[in-house]
Amino acid sequence: MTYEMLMRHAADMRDLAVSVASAGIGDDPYRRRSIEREFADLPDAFRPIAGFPDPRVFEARIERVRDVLRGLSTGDGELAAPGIGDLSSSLRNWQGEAAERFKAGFVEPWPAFVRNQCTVGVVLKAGLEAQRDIWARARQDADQIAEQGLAAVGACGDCTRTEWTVTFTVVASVAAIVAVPVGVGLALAAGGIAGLAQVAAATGPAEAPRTTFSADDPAEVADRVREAVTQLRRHVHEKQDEVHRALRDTGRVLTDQPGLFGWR
Amino acid sequence: MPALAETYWRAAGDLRAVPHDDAEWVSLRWQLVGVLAAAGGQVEEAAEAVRVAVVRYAEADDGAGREFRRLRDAGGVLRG
Repeated sequence: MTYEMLMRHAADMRDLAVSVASAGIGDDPYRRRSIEREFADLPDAFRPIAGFPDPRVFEARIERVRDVLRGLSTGDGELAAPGIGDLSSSLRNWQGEAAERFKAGFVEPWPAFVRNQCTVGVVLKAGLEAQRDIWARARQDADQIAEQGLAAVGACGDCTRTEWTVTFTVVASVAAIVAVPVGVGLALAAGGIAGLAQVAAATGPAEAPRTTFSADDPAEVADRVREAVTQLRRHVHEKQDEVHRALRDTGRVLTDQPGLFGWR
Repeated sequence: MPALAETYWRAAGDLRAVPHDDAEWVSLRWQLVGVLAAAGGQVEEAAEAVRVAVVRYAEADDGAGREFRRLRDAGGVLRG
């Protein structure tokens, strides 16, 4: 469902709520207007969600960061300092103090620097992937809230109290990226790009919480729908915070320990 | 090594061009761009240092060779 469709759903919910709540009031225009006012803001509850980014825009960004990482790789999955290995062998006849200084100060540590630089790139990529996932799931959850809310309003005429359950899948989004681990020595990760991906990958999705709502009349359904939207927005913020924390922590490693990245 | 420096600069440029409006992400991106660009500069510097050092080494080696030949031709200790 697009966000336009979501807003249409919200408008349908408002109209249906007005219609159900007005049943049996006859031709009383004042009561009718009062009921309309009661539900008028229902679509507004969804408006902040309609402003969420389109998850599809992240695809191209992720691909571009992937290209950058590929550029720093030898292409066989290994991280790369393409010239360093060749350089090391071509300089094998160069001996003496200057040669030793160069080898110890540059040739030997550089592959670890490249690895660490790549780890930061992998965190950036994981950050984008996590955000894409958050927005995709948020959209899915918003659809669920709107559809179930609409069904609940429609069921209000029934004799029993209406119950419905919303699963907040955004909480289970693969957003728990971890920052570059600190204090594990010069080489932050081993095993080429694949190993780095593990370092910055998801720690595993959390379980999606399910909340059951119940209501007797359209006004109560509208209140529960507003609550559900508020909960969704809170979950989105929490997941965003997790991603931001990982990005910030990684940035702090860069600032505090530039030497790990060959940054003098 | 110039190819490695070029790799770094290209990576820094490509990363800089990734559009995104999340402040935290952009901040980390700029840090990495800085690291990659600096790494490119360091590799280039190192390449120049190696070039100079290797030329000096070759000259010194050539000098040692000349000295060796002079001693040999002069009938110095090396002959005996």
